[in-house]
Amino acid sequence: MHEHDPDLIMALAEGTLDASDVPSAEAEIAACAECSEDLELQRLALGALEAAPPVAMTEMESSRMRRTLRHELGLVPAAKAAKPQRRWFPIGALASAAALLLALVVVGPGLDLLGPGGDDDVSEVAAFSQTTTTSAAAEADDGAALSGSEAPSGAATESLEEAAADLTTTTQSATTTTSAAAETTTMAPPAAAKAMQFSTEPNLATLEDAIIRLGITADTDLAQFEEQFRALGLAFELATTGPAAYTQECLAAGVDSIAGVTSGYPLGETPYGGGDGMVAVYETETPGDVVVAVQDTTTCEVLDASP
Amino acid sequence: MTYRAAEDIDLIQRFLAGDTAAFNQLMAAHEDRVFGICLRMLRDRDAALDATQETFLTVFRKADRYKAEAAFSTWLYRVAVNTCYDQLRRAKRASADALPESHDPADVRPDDEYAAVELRPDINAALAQLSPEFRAAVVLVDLEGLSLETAANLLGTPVGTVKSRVFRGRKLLAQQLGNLNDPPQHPRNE
Repeated sequence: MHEHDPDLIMALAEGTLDASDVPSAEAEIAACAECSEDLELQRLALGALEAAPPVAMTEMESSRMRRTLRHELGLVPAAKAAKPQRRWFPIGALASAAALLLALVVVGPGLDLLGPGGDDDVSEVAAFSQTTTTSAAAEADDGAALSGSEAPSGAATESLEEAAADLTTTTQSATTTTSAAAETTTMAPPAAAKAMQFSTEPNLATLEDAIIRLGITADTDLAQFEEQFRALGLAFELATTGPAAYTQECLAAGVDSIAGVTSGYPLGETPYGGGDGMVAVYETETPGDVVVAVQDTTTCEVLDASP
Repeated sequence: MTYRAAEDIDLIQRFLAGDTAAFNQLMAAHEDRVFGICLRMLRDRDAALDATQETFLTVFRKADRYKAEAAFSTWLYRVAVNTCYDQLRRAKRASADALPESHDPADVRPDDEYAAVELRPDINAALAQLSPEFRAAVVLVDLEGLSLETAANLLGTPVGTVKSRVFRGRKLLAQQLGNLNDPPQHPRNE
């Protein structure tokens, strides 16, 4: 009578037996009805298990879980924890504006920039001033980004205008030019902000179309549009449970970073670049014209934006 | 010590020092496998996601107690399996509590407690017939590819016991698959 040896049966089924031992093992098992049946069952089970597809979380599930865990564990992103307070008065911007004014006062008359040329000359100066002052604004924004500013949107531009206005009152000879420069700066976005506006994510264009088509605004109850958004088949989850804690800060950062937008509201969440992405809609000065952006929920950095 | 194990130890130390990037790296390295174990143990995606989250929460909250005597992954998967056992017990109790007095227990199939998952339905149904202990052994060794020794370590049982559970688990699984593949022989009510 042959002994029933589970180890031998498993090894034969798994193919882990030395090749030289296989013939004798098969002969032994063949002589035992129970062994033969078990070998067949082991092979059947292994075949079925090997055919089972691997399982994994979706990016959305992973993203949501990590966010929940970070919240539960009280993990504060390093970028936010290290944020110093923003300087209320941007020294860099002020220095640039002062240098500009000094140049105008000292060199300007020699160049006849404010001479009888009239409006055209003022425009030329304004254009020159815009370039210089815009650089100052960009520098101020860059500084804010590096220091992780939590200042409200547009603070850099507003402070710059305040700085320019202060100088205007003390430098009488350059009043016209300074005002023109400040006005032009307000109208045109900083060069650094423009460079961030790009789009590689086709989902954003689809979302933008849907937002416009459905007439969604900041006051819309998004829950009523869940079906429509689901029908888009995008890796995207509509924010129907209220904005997350990071939202307001990220919206302010979005307004700071994206050219030509005035205000924003959260639309939902999407996996992006292996991390979390907050999808926000930013309104522009043109009614009905929106920019859809994806922002990192940890750093609030604008990762992508519809054109 | 493997490269993965050494890196895990480094990441845990960095996490304890407040490095949030280490948290993300640990999640990226292990979340799918933990989720795989939970999904195959619980057979329900939402339940598996809950168990996965609970597992990581437990592990990160107790990370300061990790002594690096065993691989971090072994500890993590042990917590995952125990979390799944707990969920199964809770689901079983909830299911029993919800039964009406006149309910015939014979009418309840084990997989009624959970919806189907993306494993092939026949495998899923067959796994559902195994006891949690047999299922854990088969899932860890045959589906997750862990060695018998690692599985024994994280299950807290001798290697021989795990081997026996795998052998018997496969046998039961194959028998279930055979039954499932047979066409039903129910008499028609026509």
